[in-house]
Amino acid sequence: MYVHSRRPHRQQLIPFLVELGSVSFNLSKATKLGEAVFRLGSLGAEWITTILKTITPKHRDLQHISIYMPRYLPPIDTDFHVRRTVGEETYRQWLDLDRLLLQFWESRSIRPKVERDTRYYIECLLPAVAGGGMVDMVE
Amino acid sequence: MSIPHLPPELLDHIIDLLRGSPRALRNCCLVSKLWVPRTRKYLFANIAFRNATLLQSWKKTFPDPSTSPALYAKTLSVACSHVVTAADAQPGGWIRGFSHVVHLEVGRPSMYGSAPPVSLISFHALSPVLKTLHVHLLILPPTQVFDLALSFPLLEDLTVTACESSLDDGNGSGRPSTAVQPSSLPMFTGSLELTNAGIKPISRRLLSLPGGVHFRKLALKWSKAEDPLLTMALVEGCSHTLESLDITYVPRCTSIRVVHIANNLFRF
Repeated sequence: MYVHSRRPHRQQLIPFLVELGSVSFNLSKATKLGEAVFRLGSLGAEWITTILKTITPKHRDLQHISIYMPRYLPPIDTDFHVRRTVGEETYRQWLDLDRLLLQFWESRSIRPKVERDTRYYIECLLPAVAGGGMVDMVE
Repeated sequence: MSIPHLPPELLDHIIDLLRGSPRALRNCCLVSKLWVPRTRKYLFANIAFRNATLLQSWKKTFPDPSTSPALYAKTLSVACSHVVTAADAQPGGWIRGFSHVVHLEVGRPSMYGSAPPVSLISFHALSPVLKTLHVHLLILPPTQVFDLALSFPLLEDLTVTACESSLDDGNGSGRPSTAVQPSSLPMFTGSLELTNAGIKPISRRLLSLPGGVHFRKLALKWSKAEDPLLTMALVEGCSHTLESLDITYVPRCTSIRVVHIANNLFRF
């Protein structure tokens, strides 16, 4: 529930990139992979999940997964706003990624690295791993 | 005053300890001719020509390439590559003095203005021991970048940023290079960093190399819809050696929705 303010509002302009393409890498043969870094240009996270799903038990050297959110994110202060901002479909993508990262933690003890500045988004979008303290905040 | 005799190893050790102190090194350089090569090793290890004035100043100060301290440079950064002419690269040319450079960075100061076309021919085969090449050119046919990379047989790391795809040569389908073909191709076993429009033409050429590519680190940033296929091929081409993958993905955008959100709507 929200309450309208009676004073004049200053509007915020928030640009959203409309995602059209999709991407997928098959890393199943890259068994020497030790580090994977994903930098998002938009809030869509499906491509990260798709790539990480190609990681197999043969990837014994994989130790680091880093996820960097888009550089410009609107300031948000509640979970509801995060969900509303990213949209239901994107939110679902993040929950898929959350489940996958949880599996990585359980099977390989990999703690994803995320930027401290985006902590609020991460806590909302990756509730299982972030809520469980399984992420490392980096500057 | 006579200079006390010091064993060369001890002298080297003393100079090594002063490597972080340019002023002390400059003073050491004045002690004796014997000390000059040792100090120059550090004083001229990193050379950066950030503008044409600095470059001209170097040429004026060291007109004879045979006595120039360019020999000691390990890192060479040329931001004003358009000022380096083909004549400079001829035998006896000043830039040939940088024959021991391990890290080469070639750039151009601005994408605006009416700067003359850039040619990288002058830098071809500059140093037979070059291992790292960073090309940051905003407007340049990718063939030039690739030909330059192929001219260094020991090249391991390649970084190409901000190539302008609109100036891609031909149809971008891997046109044979016009430069002299090198006798041995680099192995490309280090890192590869490509951004945006540089990915398509450079990836295409890398993938067409007979020996393939063996990069251990990939850092790729792209934003165009047609790029993912080549990028995927590049990643898979390096599968057997890949140790680190750094992907930046900006999806293709056809429009920007501007969402107006009144601050008060977010107040609870």
